[in-house]
Amino acid sequence: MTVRTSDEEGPSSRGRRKATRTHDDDEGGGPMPITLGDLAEEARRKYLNYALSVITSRALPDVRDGLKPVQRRIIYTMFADLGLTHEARHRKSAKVVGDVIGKYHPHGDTAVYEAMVRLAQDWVMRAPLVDGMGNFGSIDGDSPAAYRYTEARLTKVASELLTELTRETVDFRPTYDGTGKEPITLPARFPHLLVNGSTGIAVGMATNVPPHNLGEVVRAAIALIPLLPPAREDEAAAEKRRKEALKVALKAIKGPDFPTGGRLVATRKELAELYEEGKGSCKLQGEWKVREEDKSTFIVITSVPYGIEKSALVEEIGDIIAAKKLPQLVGVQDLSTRDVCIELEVSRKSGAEPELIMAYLFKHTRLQVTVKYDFTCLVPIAGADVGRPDRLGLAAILEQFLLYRQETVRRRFEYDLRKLRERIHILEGFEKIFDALDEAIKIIRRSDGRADAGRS
Amino acid sequence: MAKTTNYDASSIQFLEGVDHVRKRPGMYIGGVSKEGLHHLLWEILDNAVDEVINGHATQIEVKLDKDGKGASVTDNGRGIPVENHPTLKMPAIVAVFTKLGAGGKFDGTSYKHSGGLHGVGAAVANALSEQLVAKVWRDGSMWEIEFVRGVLDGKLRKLGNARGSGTAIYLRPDPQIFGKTTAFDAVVIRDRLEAKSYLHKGLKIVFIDETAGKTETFHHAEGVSEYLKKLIEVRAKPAVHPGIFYLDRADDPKLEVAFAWTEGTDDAMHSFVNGVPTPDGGTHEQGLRAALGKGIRAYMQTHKLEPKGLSIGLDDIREGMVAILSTYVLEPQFQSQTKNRLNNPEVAGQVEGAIRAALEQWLHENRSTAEAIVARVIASARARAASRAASQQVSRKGPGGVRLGLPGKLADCSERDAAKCELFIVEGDSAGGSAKMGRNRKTQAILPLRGKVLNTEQASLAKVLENEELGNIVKVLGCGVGKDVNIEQLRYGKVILLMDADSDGHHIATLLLTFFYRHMRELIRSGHVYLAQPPLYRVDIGKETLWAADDAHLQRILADKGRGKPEIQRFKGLGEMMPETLRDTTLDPKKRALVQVKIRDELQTDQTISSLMGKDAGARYSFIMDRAAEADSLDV
Repeated sequence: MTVRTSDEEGPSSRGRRKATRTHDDDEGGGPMPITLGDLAEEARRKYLNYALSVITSRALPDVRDGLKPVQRRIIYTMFADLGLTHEARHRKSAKVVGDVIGKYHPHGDTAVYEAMVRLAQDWVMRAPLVDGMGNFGSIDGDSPAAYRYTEARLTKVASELLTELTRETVDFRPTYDGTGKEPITLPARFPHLLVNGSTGIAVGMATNVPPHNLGEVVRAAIALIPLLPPAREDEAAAEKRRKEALKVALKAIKGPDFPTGGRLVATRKELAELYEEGKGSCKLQGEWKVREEDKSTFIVITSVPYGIEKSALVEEIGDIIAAKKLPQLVGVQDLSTRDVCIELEVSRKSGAEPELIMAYLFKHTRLQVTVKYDFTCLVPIAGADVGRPDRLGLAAILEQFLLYRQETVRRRFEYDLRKLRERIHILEGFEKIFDALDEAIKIIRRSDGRADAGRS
Repeated sequence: MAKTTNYDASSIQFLEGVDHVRKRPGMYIGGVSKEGLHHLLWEILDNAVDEVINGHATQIEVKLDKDGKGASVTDNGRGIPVENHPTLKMPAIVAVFTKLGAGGKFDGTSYKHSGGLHGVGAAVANALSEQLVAKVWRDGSMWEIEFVRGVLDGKLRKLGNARGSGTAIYLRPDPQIFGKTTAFDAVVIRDRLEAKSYLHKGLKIVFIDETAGKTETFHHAEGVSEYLKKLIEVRAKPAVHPGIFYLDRADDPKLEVAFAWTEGTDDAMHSFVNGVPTPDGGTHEQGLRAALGKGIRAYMQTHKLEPKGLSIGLDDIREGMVAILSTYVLEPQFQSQTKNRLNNPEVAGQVEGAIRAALEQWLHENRSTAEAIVARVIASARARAASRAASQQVSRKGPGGVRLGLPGKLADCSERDAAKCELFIVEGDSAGGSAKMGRNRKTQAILPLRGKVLNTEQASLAKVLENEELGNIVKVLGCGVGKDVNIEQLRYGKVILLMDADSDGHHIATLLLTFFYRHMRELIRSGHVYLAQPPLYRVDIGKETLWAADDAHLQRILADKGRGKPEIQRFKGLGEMMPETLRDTTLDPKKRALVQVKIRDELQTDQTISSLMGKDAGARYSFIMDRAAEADSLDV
């Protein structure tokens, strides 16, 4: 326990209040008293501060706009400070990174740039939010060019997160240094968390939301509107409604939709369980087909599982061939350009079945991976800026989004209404003036400056 | 001096009883901290337990108020006597609660063994409570008496007839004494009660926690041996042998002891005298240690199990041992009223004799268990030898006592007297630069670290030393590492962790504390580890610049300075500060605030560190979620 008191006469306050920029070491008085702190309690307090900071403002996305703080700040900076919409010209990434760090996000530049690059990579994002120009890396794990080379602007999809921002639809809070304001969430017009997914490792918890198909997600959200919670309902009714909501949502959303494609190895029932709990895992395989030529047979792999570097996979298969673990295979070649195309040459002598070869590769290489589901995200608490981490099911995520959407739409209308009323007020004034123009001119001519004219 | 005061006979104050306790609470309860607060309740609880020890009570009920600021202890013992005291001319119960030195535990007739002995506990608890109500059931009647801040309020009232006997004491600690810390911690109370229930076989303790609306009953028929099994389970390091050593002696010296060796690398000894925990040990623990050393060595000699060229120290024998020792002493002498350490010299010999005989017999009767224990002891001796060699490598000295191979990043100080020197371990090179320029080069040395250091919770010593940053710390401190720490060779009197006041700074501080706790615990035990307290905010008002250590302090500054528009800037890193600023706020011994790191409770500390830094993510998750409200400075 820290014995350091926080009341008026705390030792820290006494010493510090005196301290000013003038320093004279001969100032009277002995050393400051030393307070005692219990190791367990200090460690616990410090660790909690660290853990909760990471949870609430680093690693987890907000359920409402599906963004982690650094992503939200990048997009907000590009939109509000730099005007980099999808119609604008690309600007240097360095400008974006610098503004994000300086205004909103007091952390390292590489972290910010890497986050921005991911937002632009179309094999990571189902609907990229940043439109990058230059080398933004590749699915082979090549690193992007440094931020002084690349340029960026927002994509059209990103504007669906931003267009309502100027109409007082969301709350703002002061930035870290108190010099400006930043939005707590962006007014997303579609359930972004599900569309682009999210991965993050916090402390004691992590998040893993795979990407989904935009059309499916939007259809599910619309279908759920009638199933939003009524003002009052008992637990049994709520339970029934939630069951129904999951069913309706799953009718629209068939499963994850990875930008890299692939084949999901899971039954409907297994998927329904994953989406109900927001937790679990299933298998994902790369897609393949057989190509016959005059003299040889090839297995062509046309997609690699989400999140896997293609070059690493080719190396893995190469190692298997080199070690003669799979004698039916004689060669592997990466013929990809923009599409994935790995050709495996099959020895005809061995009379191997392509299915068997693939079964072996799925088992022993990352051509098949486990997709983890962990829908942990920050859920808003009434009256607080900072959300609470919670694991939600599919229906609950959509429900949270719809409630948020209701709120932003209501606020948008309120804003529009107010602006219209203000405009009407002015127009009514004009009308009056036009009806009595001579009178008005007379008053103005007679008056002694602007203030006097107003009074008359 | 403005005014002179005469120092004559009239200036000698005599504070009687209650007043003295209120004036100098530290003398009686060890300070007005959280511990002191709980100590009031322990005094009352120990009185109830004394009834149990002497066979007059079987059940105790402790109830915590909904606001956590008051608690009651009820037992079914004999009830405090209510008749008038022959010489004091007041009801005995009034004397018990108002007179220092009034008690029934001096002559050994009413109580044979007791935790209470000075006859002040109840009176002290009373004096420091804003309200204390005692109810007594005795001789067919029920009585009630109330005190306010140690002074009788009204008088002893007979409430009517009642059956049975017992005492119920309700108290609310006085905020005038304890300031802000007036709420009891339900977890602390719960753990204490649980420990008590293990120590006194058959005692039933009911804990009604109204803060959480929970009721828990503790009742353990097997006493200390059951406690030991639970401790081993909690520590999550399994025992290396089947069964445990357990001895329950009814005749003098009355004692109950249980121990076992586990895979853990530290040892945990929980000792009690007459049911009161003695965290600082004392002569009874000495007796147990001596018995262990001699018993194990004798067994190894008899069976010719001693390894060649390897000396077995007492530390090796104790490594991984979990022990509970509950002794009963007729006239216990403690170091102070807080009863942290037993001083009776004769106890050491008695305890040693009793345990050693039983231990040797147990070892010979359970040969396979004994061999597992010996193997454990030899393994720890070997590990100690290996780690000594490794750490000597790190801290080797060059000719003429000049230390070679100090890392280049260290900016050392010129003072030769280690006690006066301070080492600041600083996060990051950018902060290291400011610290170097702002320090006092005579006594203050700076060691910058890069990034986050290794999590040492699970790392072996060899792995730790491979880590460059931690290896540098070990080299710079010069006192060795692991079991080989020699505090006399420590090159600095204070080792101060200076981290940014943001979440990553907090993380690095916990990583370093874990390292010191797991691998250089002696450094913390001897009070050499400190935490610097850099400010969190800078406030500019007009020409004046102020620094705020935390949000509460910031609010106070803003409230104080109404005029002028304050500009508030949050410090992100120490590198933001001008070197002079850093000196004025954080480095200068005359102006800075330091927190000295102490280990208050070994088991609790061990559990905390392992749940925070260990492998079990589930434990960490529930820990974080349960205690989320305790976090006080979050990043935006």
